[in-house]
Amino acid sequence: MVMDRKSELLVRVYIVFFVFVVLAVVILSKVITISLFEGEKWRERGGRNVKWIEVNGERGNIYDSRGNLLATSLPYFDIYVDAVTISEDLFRNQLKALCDKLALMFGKTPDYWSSKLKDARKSKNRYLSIARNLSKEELETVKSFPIFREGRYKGGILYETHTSREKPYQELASRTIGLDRTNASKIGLEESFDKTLSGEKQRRLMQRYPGNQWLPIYDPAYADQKRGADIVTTLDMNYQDIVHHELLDVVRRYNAKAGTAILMEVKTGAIKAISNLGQASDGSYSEDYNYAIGRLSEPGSTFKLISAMAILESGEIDLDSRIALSGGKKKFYDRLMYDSDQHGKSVVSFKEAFEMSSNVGMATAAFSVFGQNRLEWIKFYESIQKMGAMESTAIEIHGEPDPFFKNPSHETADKASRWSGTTVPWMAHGYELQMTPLQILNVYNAVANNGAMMKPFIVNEIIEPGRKIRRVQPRIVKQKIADADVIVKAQQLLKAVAESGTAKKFEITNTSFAGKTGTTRINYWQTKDVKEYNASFAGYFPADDPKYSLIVVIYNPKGAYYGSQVAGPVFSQIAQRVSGMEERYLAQAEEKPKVAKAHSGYKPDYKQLLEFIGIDYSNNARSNWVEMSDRNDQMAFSSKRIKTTVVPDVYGMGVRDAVYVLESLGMKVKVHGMGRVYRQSIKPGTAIKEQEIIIYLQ
Amino acid sequence: MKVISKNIGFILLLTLLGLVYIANAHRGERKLRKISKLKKEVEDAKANFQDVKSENTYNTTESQLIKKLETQGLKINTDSPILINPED
Repeated sequence: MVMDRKSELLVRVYIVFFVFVVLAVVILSKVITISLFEGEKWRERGGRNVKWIEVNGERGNIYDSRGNLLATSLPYFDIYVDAVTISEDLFRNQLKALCDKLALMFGKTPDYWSSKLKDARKSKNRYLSIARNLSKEELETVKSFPIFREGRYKGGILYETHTSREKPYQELASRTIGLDRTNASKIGLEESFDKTLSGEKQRRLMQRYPGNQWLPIYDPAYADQKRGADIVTTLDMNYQDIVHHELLDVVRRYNAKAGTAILMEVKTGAIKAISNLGQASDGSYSEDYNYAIGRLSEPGSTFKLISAMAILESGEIDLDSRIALSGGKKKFYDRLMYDSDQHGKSVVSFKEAFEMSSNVGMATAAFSVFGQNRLEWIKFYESIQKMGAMESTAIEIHGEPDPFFKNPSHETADKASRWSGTTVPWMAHGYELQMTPLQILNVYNAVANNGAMMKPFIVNEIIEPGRKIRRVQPRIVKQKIADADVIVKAQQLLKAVAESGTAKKFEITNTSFAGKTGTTRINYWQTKDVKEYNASFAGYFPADDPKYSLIVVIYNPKGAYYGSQVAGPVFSQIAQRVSGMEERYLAQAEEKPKVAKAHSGYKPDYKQLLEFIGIDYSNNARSNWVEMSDRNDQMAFSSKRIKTTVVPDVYGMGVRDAVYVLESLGMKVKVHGMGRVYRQSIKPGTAIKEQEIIIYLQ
Repeated sequence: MKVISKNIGFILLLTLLGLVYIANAHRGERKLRKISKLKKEVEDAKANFQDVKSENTYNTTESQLIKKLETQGLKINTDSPILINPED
């Protein structure tokens, strides 16, 4: 018996042992097959559960000087349809309804969409493009269409997200703000400041979780990926809007090839507005090229300011020196020069010649001072060079060419830049040289700024992530572009143009201005039936103590071409409207400002406000939320207690404060009306339990 | 056997730790999912906000307002605004 029990036990042990051994062998063999024979396949599949992706940090924004957003990154959506996954029933029943909606939203006829979808279904297309670059809002609309509203698997709607740049102001200054695009080179500020704006690139390890969701494998470093820096420009969109639309009006009216206008702050060189409008083949206008910065052309009469300064600086001719106009027609060597109108005058003062923009007058004066021999030519050249007119302005936006001037010192230079006997008289009225509108404006700005030439700039601040601000300081390029008395005379000349010269009929009622018209023949070497011109006006306002300088250039207008007729009105309209926006102080305020009763909100806001307008207040409230009242000639705060457990009293608050307070306590808020809260749907003091509260404002 | 029974406390502790480890991993995963969901929501909300805001910015430019108010006989005033100086 004893043996029996013992052997029985042994048998059991052996059975168990055997089972274990078999199991071990099975497991071991499986391990070997998995790791050795099937290893490749499994390792590959395992690898698919983690992957590296590249994440770009958010690109910085571009702002105008008032903090308005000029460019930001927004997600856009491309929509596709998987035409196969939609069930036959659904497709048949709702196709018409869907196509009507698509036609309504994206144009084309319902039939077009219907046949497109049917074709895709027939050819088993699982990726039919429907629309590109939709905003989030538009995407939601499309997702609610018949069939599509059934979702990804039943309705077949697919979409892809990509980020692109949005410009809230659309066409305004768009060439200058620029483009950040992937399939073509960047332009404008987006290009010049690409490194600054770009966010930090980061490689992240992602892991696949059930439900086919990719989530980053946690790494503290991911959290502080740097976004790109923001850029604050000197542009002011209020002015930009004015400049853009005044320019648009005139290029349309005269069917011009293109037009540009730049508004610059005299004291600093900050560019407040810059517009570039070019004509497309269908006659419409858009910001297609940065003419202001990149287009060299012969300036014509606006250059007379520079030649006049050179002439005056020689000391040989003064404002009242007599200049022979020979009736507005004169021969220099073998070339005839005409004034733009047949005035028939024979002798006028230098100042009058400038006022009436006489080509012959300026040429004669320049010829008598600088025209005789090469030494004098070089003197003329150096005098212009000293004014900084031969250098580019080094504006931040790339693509600015150097001004083109012929070189008087080299006899054997290439033919195009060789100096001849007629060069001085022709240069004197703005030919045989090329400058960009910005380069000309820069000289006018220096004259307005009493001779100090500023570096034009367009980026004012760079705000690094972490709020570190790099401010760009205005920079003086040349302390004095000419002798002080020459600058004063130049200012007198420009003022005379406005008062009694070619610009005297401009209607500006609220400010004074000074400037110079320009009418330039272009393509004069071609023999065409219709002569082509560029019309321009450069100047500044107000005439005494100038605040802004402004240049307007209209390329190849049709019907009229005089600077005073085409570009002048744009100048005067802009000057009028910009001055209309400038603040003026009224000496005496009649009444003490009163603050409405029952005004409540966030204390630091009030403090800032009261300190800004300079009103006394007594600060005896301790909480952050206060009610303000008028107490013996002084404003006083009284605390508003906000407890986390009960509904607070938001009476008298603005919508932002009220919603903030209520939502941070976990309530849902509905808002009616505008103004300040006068009623709330739940009584103050009621216990909070995630209720919905309605606030009424008036 | 003896080894097991002697260390039963330790083994139980190990089991408990194992459980805690697994639960924690799950909690972590849930959090990650929630974070990515919320992030997407924030992004959506931000995009919506920016969309509406940029539309609003454009519609409130002077030129657009002039266009809209023309029919009501309102036009731009070119007189300078008067600022009340509280110092006086």
